[in-house]
Amino acid sequence: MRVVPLLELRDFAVSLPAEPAPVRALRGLDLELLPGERLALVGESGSGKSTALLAIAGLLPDEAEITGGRRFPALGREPMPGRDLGLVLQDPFASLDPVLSVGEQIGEVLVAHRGARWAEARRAAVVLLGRVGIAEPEARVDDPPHRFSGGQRQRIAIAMAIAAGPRLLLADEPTSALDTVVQAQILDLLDGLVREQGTALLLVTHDLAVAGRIADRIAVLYAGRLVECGPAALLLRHPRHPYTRALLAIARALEAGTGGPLAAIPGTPPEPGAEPPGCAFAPRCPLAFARCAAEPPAWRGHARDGVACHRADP
Amino acid sequence: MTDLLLRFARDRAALLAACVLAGLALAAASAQLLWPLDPEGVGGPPLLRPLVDPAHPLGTDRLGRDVLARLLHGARLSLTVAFAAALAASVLGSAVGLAAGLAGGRLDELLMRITDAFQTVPGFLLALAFVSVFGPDARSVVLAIAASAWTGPARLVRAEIASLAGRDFVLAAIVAGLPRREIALRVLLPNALPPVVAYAATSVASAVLIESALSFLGLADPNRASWGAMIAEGRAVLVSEPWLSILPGLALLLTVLAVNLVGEGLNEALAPRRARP
Repeated sequence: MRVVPLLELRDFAVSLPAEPAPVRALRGLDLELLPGERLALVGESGSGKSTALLAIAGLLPDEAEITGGRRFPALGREPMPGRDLGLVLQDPFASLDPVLSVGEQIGEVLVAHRGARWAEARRAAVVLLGRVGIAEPEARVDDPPHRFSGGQRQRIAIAMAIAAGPRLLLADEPTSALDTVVQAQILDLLDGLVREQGTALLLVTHDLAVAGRIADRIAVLYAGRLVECGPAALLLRHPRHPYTRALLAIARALEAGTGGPLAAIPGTPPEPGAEPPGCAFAPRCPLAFARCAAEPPAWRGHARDGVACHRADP
Repeated sequence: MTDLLLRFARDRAALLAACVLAGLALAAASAQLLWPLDPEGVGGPPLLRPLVDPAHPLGTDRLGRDVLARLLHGARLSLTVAFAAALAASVLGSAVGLAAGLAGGRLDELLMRITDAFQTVPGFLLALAFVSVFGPDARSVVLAIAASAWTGPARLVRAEIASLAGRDFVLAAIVAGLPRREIALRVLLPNALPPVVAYAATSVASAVLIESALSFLGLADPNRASWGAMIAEGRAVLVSEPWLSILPGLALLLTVLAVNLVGEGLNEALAPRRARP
């Protein structure tokens, strides 16, 4: 029997108004997320990955022009913020309210969704703080955010996002603002929490290493389109798309810490509005041949595992 | 909160000013105990100079009323009126600014045009008009001052709401599914308030001045001692007995200076937290 997906994007496109021409942030994205699945959306800045996340959360500005399908079949309705989905943002120094204590911020979510009384909500906030690994939560629950370190703040932001027990947790570069050791801890925390609760996780990151650490499946985005997606382990071992290969080489070089010149993909992503007629990656691709510049590659494979490249074997 | 107090206390001038202001408020509140002479009753010979008679250390005025008692009771009136006016203006202004900032569109436009209209009329003129219509009692003086002072907080709060709207923690509150009212009152308003608090502190100073100016012009309650009225009365004998005007003038200067310094200190103390990313 086929599992009913939690989230389904079909030919999903988003245009954001801008001068002189609107920016086509997403240009036909197909994506599927099963309940409890952990999917990483990987790409450079400007690839549209954050737009995709905001669109899924229903947070795009009203001016954004959206076409294509965005459905939540397992819910059967539009998700309720907080109750059905939680969001962890990149910068833990900006994502917590400086005025309220951390307990109040977590408690508010419980009051709003569980109809909890304030005293219960505070107790539940203590429990949540403990679960996300804040030491002595009882003593810290009334502290304001600025008494916490960046890593602790991100833990608190996570506690807030999961407080109402959402089925889908969205995370936008949740570790990019943190140092390496803390990054690993936060990833482990996220991993443990979603496993425990069976929450689906959609993680947006520019770092394939981060994606490989936590995701079951990886989807690679380039210039607003999916270029490759597949099971994480397989994709990292046998990347099919040249772009995925390049990203992987960078991640490996960074990990190895080779003292040589910084690994980078030559060239830049296409300017919005100036996408080439063929494959968007062709101008930077070492394997490009005539067909790549002329004809956009079709998707080979199926929705959950495939690649869009003339050079790749399906 | 304790952080805030610590940061405030680091500013020596502001701390000193706060102490002066607290002392003044305490003295005003306990005027009867501290110096139990009647500020309105004739207590001695008229025009007694300061530092001559220990029964009247600051002398007496033209009617023989004790100047120290009048100063203390004047402080009570000035401070009460000024703080009440600043509070009323802040509450009203914040409410208007919050409504405008949240609603946007036509309501925002309407509220801001009303604010503009109030702002174009000079504050003192508005207060004069108000008092001449509603009579010179303390309550209408408070309303008169607040009527012109609410525009500042209204604009501040509206601007803060606009800048807060795109901040991550507001986004986080929206995605957490908090009700709109909750986001407005518990997330946006408290974060918009610090500049209003600092502004209110400085607007107390202008309220003190307006109150004194009104009573100087005889537009305040004639039966209550007031610094402005004392200066006005002293004018008649300004050349021969200048202290009658100088003493309440000094009291006014000290108060306004102290209030301004406290306001600046508050502004500084509130700023770093807001500036932190």
